[in-house]
Amino acid sequence: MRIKLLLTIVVIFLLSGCVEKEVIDDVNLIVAVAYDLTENGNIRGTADVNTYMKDQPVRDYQIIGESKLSRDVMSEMQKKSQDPLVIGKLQVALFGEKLARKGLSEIVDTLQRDASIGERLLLAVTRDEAMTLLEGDFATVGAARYMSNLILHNIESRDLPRTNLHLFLYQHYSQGQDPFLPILKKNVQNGNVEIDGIVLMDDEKVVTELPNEKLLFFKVLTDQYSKGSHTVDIPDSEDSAVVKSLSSSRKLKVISEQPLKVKIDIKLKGYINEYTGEKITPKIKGEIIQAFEKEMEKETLALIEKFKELKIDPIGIGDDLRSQIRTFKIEEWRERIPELQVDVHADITISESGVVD
Amino acid sequence: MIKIAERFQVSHFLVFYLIHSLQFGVGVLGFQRIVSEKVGRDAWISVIIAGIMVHISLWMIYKILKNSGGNVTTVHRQILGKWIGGGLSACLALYFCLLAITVLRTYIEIVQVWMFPDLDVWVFTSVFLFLVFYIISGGFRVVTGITFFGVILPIYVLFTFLFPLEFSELNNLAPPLNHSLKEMAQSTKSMSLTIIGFEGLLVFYPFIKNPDKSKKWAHLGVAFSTVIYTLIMMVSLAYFSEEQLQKNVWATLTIWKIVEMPFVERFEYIGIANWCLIILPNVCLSFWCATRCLKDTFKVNQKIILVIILLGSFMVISLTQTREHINMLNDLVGQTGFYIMFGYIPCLFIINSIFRKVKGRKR
Repeated sequence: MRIKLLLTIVVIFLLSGCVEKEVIDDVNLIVAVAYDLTENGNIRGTADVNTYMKDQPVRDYQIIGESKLSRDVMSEMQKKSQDPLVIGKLQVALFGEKLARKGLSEIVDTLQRDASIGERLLLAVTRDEAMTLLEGDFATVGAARYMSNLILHNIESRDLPRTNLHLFLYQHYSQGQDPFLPILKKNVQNGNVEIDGIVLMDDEKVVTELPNEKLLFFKVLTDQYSKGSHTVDIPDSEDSAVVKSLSSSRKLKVISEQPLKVKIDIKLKGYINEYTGEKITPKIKGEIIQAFEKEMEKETLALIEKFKELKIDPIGIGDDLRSQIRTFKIEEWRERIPELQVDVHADITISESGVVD
Repeated sequence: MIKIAERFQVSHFLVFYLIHSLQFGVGVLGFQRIVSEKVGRDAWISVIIAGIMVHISLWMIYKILKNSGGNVTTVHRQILGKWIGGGLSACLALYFCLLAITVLRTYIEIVQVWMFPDLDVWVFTSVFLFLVFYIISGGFRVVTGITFFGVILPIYVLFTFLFPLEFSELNNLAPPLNHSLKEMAQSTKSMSLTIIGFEGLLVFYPFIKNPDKSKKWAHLGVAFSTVIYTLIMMVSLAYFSEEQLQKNVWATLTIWKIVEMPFVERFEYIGIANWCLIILPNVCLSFWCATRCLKDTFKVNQKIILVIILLGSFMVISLTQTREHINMLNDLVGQTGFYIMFGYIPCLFIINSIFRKVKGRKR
């Protein structure tokens, strides 16, 4: 009995600590990372590390590494860090505009191959160099928290379409859909960061971008239950109204396979948030709805025309076709995008108009 | 003739846990990629077909053992004689060993890739196998007890598969049945590694108190596994795009990367650690079946065989180093399991029923 007990104790002591320990106080947590393309074609990574001090706001500092391969960037950074860098808490990854126009596949592969990176990681493309955004002034929260909150609240209650690492990979690998990412811009006056539209990509790289004003129409096409707001100018009068969307849905129906023709039904439910005129009568409400429906159809059609010209499919029409037509060949989809004919029908209901008439 | 004293037997309803636990192992963590390779969105149908096949197989096993007065080793001896029958029983024991080795080694690989890259294989294996030895030497009732807890305790994990629905595209499941019969058959075949294990019933049959009543529970166990597999497959198909699914070796674990709760930022660490509880009864039962098989065939002490087998398994597990080795092991066991399910069991079923008929007529 005594021998058994002794043996157990010996084994416990021998086996404890047989894997690498990572104590939270002894590591540097990377919370945001920025990738840029340098002039000589290397990739420069900037890691943002938080330091926490007693009774003080979060302070962050940057560690820079440069290399040919995005994998090596990390080991370059390790050489410049006092404590080992760990990437498990990464919240935001930024890509410089130049790099995004050259292609992101390699870096995205690095991000998805690492088992410690979460799928909710937010990705964004930046105007100019991504590095400069991390150096901004973020008051008390630090760069990563600030930027992830900025993107997340705009997705949840405003007109930024949903993105994260998982959705990006979904679109990147799917043959029936192409990825898009938000653009972040540094505000020159106060050093803060703001959203400046989205970029649309083909399989590999950025091909075009959409400004903030078109985001609602884009979001209606990509997401279900999207929220956002839009100012509608009422025809034949000087007044305008702000319509806030509560929920929306998009349905795609194939009308004919040869030629390829689809019908997109958009349903949007919203309320009037602001009105410049005197009183909202049922007649004016009808006018607002009509004007908004017309604009919605026009704008979404214009977006789809643009996609067809560039042979991209950020709203996933290809995936819809694949699930509705049994004989559809998804491999040929990119070549067939320009053939597509689209009808858009918008159906808008306005339920409320605020606490006053 | 094998007669087990009642104090060593288990109640009939526990067969539910035994069968389910034998089936449910590491296969479920990464079966999506292999099964959907040929049929893409129809993979969930293959999963259901595979489940139905298991039901048929299970029915055959009950028929084979019904009037045998023992387990599969008795049947082997009755039909094929002492030598060939004994050899076949030994082969079956080897298969159960391989099953346990594959499960344990694949699990260690997952821990290495997802949690601790520098985990020493032999350290983990020796601790784990020591535990397995301890449990099996307690007898079949103890093994069954562990099985019960190995099914009940981690059941909450199923709820985590609701999280990916936020990012799922149910359209991905349409259009159903868009592939040829041949492709469907191939993908059903690739399900074999995930569904095998229920053959353990061939060995532990005499340990069930009321075999006739246990039939219902055995089928329920298989149905439960099939439902879970189908649900996980459907969630995976909706959550990943078709091409993305082919990139993920362990799609089930990748799904967990999206789970976020206020008190747990990332679930896969908890999930993988919990999975240890799922594979423990699986490994125990497989090793128990292997040793029991040898004991009944060669009439030797089960504990001595157990030590020899565990030492041998320890060597094999320590020697498999790379993913290629592990894949080879997985393929080997998957193939063998497939042939056991579709070749060996039906053959035994047919020969056994003819044998019994002839014998009955002679009387």
